Amino acid sequence: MGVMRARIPGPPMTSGRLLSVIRWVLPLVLAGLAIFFEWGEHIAGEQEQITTGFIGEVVLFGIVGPIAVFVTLEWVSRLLHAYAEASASLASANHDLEEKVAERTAHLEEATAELAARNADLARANRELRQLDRLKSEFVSLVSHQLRAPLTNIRGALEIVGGDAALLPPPSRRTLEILTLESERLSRLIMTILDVSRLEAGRLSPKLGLVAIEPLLARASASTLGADRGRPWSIEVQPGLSPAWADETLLEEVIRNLLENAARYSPLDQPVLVQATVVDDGIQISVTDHGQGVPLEEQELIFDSFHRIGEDDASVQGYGLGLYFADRLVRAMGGSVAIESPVWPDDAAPGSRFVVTVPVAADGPSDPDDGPEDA
Amino acid sequence: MARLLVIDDDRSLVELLSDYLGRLGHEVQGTGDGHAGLEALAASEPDLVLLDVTMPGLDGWQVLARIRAVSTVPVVMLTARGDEPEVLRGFAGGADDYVTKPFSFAQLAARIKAVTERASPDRAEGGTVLRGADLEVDTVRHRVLRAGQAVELTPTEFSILETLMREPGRVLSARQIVTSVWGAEFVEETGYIRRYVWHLRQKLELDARSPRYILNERGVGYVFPAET
Repeated sequence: MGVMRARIPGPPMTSGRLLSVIRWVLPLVLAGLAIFFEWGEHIAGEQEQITTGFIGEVVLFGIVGPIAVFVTLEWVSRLLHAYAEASASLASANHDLEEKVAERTAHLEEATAELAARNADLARANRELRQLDRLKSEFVSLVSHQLRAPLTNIRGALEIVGGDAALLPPPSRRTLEILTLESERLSRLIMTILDVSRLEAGRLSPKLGLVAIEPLLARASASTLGADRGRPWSIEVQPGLSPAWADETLLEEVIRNLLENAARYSPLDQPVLVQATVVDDGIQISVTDHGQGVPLEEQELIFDSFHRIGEDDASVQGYGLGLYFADRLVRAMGGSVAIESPVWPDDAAPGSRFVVTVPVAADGPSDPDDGPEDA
Repeated sequence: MARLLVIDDDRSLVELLSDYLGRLGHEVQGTGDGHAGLEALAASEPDLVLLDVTMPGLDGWQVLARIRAVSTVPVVMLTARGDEPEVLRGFAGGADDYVTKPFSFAQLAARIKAVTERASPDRAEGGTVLRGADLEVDTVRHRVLRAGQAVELTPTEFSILETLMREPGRVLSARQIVTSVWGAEFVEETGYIRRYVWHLRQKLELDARSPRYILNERGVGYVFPAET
């Protein structure tokens, strides 16, 4: 990097010395000339005697004049000296400045080189991470695909045996039921992992369309909470709620995930409340439970993959994928998911509320004849 | 019932499918690789082939191509991959259906029924494939074809169309449609139907302003016209 270098010129040293000689010589020469001229005019000329006029002119031109010249030259000499000093000081400051600029430039170049090296490190780390991520996705996909074939056989065998379940003694029937439920759970897990993998790879894109919210909430609640051995639950939907603009299948999947989450983290006798209302920017669907709640520090992490609340609690089933998947799906549909906790003034069961917001469908057909009167 | 040929290198699956589908009255022949499968196809002329995609030697795609070179027998692909490009490749290659593992055997049996019905409409029993005009609605696979081209509908749009097509020529009120699609508890929620039908027509009709498939009986309801 180039630095502009300016040098202020000082007075040459010979001029200073010359002036110090002239300031003495010039007044003396002027005094001598004045006295000689006045002597010639007044004494050697017609008057031939010392008059007051002669004395006055000698004093004025021979003494006062040269003294004035001397004082003036002395003042100029001092000015020149001060100028020389200021110039020297400025030159010194300029020199210091140049040194500092050079030093900073060197630091800057060093820092730039260091930054470039770090950028290169980051780029390399980024490439490695992408590579790892790709390998992870391929591994997950491979494992999931490899698991699907034996799982198909297990489920098929269970279906065959299930056809003869009536012939089995009750304890064996119950074992068969448990086996069937577990194989279904494993199937769901594998499908979720594959869906997440597809979503991350951009191969799962929502198919947006009109979605009537209340029937969707009823279906999702019945299929998840309805099977939850007597769990109380209720649905509250704002009358005349507009339909949403979303992917019906994926939105139902999201709501089911939130309901399963609510059931997983709250006691069986505690109700789950599902609500839907219209807000400024869309349709808001919330799932509220009376569970243990989500601490503030957990709320930031709760939508991360494989993050589970109470990971040490073996009684809580789950893989930490449901909320992550729900969040990613809703965002892919142009919406958002948020969490509120605590919900209730109860320290033992503060509860959580998950709020999904999805876009509202644009106004429907404008043709008044398009549809039956009772529709 | 149908004569089925299963081509899959997973011997356990072949054995289990033979047992399950045999109990349903199908006649099942199993083979463990592509070459044996092609020989069995030539020898026994089955009504339908269940074909695994991933096999050593000839894979499912190669076997499908060889089958299509000599036969129009319906083929249902069995695969552990359910990606959309994979499914599209299957249909483009001449597969009639596509089942992704892990599938339930009951689901597979329903697919077999739908595919054999579609292949031989005169054998249709339970109406899993509905037809009207140039529309074909497969109620098992939730697939709609208009003049052979797939039309993508949301689940609710599909249910509305299915409801109307099950009773061609009969005008159904919005209350009847809602009850059929969402259940009796939503009988009052008729406001949505008009909007759903509007969207359905946008996807289905060539000219949504002059509909051919979903007609409006003003003040009464909607009707899928009976074929004359």
